[in-house]
Amino acid sequence: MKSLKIFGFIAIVCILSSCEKIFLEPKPKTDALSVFNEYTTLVKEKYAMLEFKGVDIDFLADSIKNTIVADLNDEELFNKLAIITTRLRDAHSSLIHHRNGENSLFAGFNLLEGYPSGFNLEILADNYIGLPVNSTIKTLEGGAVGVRAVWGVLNQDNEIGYVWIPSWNEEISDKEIEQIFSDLKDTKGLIFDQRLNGGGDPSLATKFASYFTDKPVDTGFERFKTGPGANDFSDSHVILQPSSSSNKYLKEVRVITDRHVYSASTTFLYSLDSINTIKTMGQRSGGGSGSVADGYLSNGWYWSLSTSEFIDAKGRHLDDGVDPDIAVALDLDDISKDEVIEAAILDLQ
Amino acid sequence: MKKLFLGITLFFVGLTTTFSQSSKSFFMELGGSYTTFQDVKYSTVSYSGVGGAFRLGIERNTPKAIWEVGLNGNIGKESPNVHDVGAVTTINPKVYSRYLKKVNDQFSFGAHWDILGLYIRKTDGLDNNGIYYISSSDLFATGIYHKGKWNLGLDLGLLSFQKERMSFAFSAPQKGLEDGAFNYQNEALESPFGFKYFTLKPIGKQLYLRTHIQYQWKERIAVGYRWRARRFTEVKNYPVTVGEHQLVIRYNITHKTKPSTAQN
Repeated sequence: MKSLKIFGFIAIVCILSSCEKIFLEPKPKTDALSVFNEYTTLVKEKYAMLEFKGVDIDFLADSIKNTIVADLNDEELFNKLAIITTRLRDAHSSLIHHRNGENSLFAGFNLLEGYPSGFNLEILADNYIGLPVNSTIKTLEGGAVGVRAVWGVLNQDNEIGYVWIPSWNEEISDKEIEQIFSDLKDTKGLIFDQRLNGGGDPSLATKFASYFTDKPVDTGFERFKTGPGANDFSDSHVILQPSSSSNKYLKEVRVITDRHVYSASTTFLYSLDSINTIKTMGQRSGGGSGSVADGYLSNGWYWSLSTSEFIDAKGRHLDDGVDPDIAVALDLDDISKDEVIEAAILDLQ
Repeated sequence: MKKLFLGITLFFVGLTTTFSQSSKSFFMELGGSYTTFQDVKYSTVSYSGVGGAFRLGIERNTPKAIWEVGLNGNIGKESPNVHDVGAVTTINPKVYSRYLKKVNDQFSFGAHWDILGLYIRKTDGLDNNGIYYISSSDLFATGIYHKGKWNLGLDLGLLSFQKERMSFAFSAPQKGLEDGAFNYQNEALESPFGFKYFTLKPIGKQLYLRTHIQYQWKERIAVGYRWRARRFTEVKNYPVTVGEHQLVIRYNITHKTKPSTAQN
């Protein structure tokens, strides 16, 4: 009996040590049809805005599937999948042949197409924030465009402050944020320039937004895909909590937008949308309200998809962008002024 | 839940201070590992690769019981099994404790508690899904068979208190999203140690098995083989599987033996 126990124990140890691979799902196939099916299943199960975007994924997949034959080359297969990607009209959703490869095949949505430019750096620098024209301007150096933040008081009205955050995809410390708002606290109104800011870290955008309120703000809700079924969503109602800082800015603010305003910049916009002291001005924003998941298909192609959608406190779907409260166009032929900033100054006076 | 952990901690601390010792070792282990991972929520592609494993611990061995506390972990690189992009770096440190009662000269049974472990994966080329983690506290029933210079062990996962960063479709815990708790000011949701969004996984809701075989080569040196496999689901029908093999050499940095004076 004792020997049996010992043998049994040794047998269990040896058998269990054999391999965890018995628990794994089978290796996926990588032929053209399998990759196509894998991608369409991902879109169907994970993409959160099929209804809002008016995409019948089953119909779309079926209509393409018949053209997927075994001898398709990589580019031909990519172009078939790209039909689905582009149909989503969502700059967060992309398909890339080689993520880090040069001249890689790319499928996605160009959100700037059809929109005139709403921003010109030369006009801004030469008339408002360049040191030769404005000695009050301070900057945080670094980042992809050379500065992470620009702020100061505008010469055009010595009581109106100005902040430009070119990207949320940078590190801006709590201390630096405090410095910005501390420097601007005595102004009578503020222009917060969001133009060119295509997003980055939504947490940073939310941190900035929290300086513009002294009470919790209902901003709307984010609908996340939480399962494979068409109705497997869960809503997170989002309340913006005010910053604990003593340098909160509770006076009038004009947020300037252009079509580049996307992703985390949309997070910033919807966070402020219900605050009475804040209006948006400029051009329709880019949108990109969803949170994004990404991964690789079985053949190594990179995919990204919006797996949530944000619906703001006014019930608006934000993913295709929203029109500003006050629409103002930039005249690129007149380099002596930025019409949007000028309109914002007038509105704050 | 905090009270439960405090109670278990006090239980182990109590154990380590109430019985007399006949040997005490402060040891380290170094070796290699071969790890495997698959998250069906995102793909049936599995990842595997090699890395290094380490362990630092203190073991007391009395005629009636064995206890051990320590830190172990591994660092490795994994590659997907069907394509060549998106290499993964894995890091998996753990603080653990175990206590086994000697039933006779050959068998010991008890409990092993991975007090806190963090399993991190960083995938090249991914953005939001680039960082995956499971933070967990895991309790096992454990048994060891002793035969001469050989020790053979088996751990069966009884209960895990864990948080997986990746939900069905986004890099936030499934529980947090299902609870409607997502927002960018909710730090507990993002933090690996935001216990509010941990879930309990008792045996039956997950499979967590480990084996270990050790051969005492010399007084201070032993060689060992460890294996573990863990399979669980946060989203039904979309399991996560983690596997690991380790081959290690153990060296007793200090090893003190005393005549037996065990009292419990």
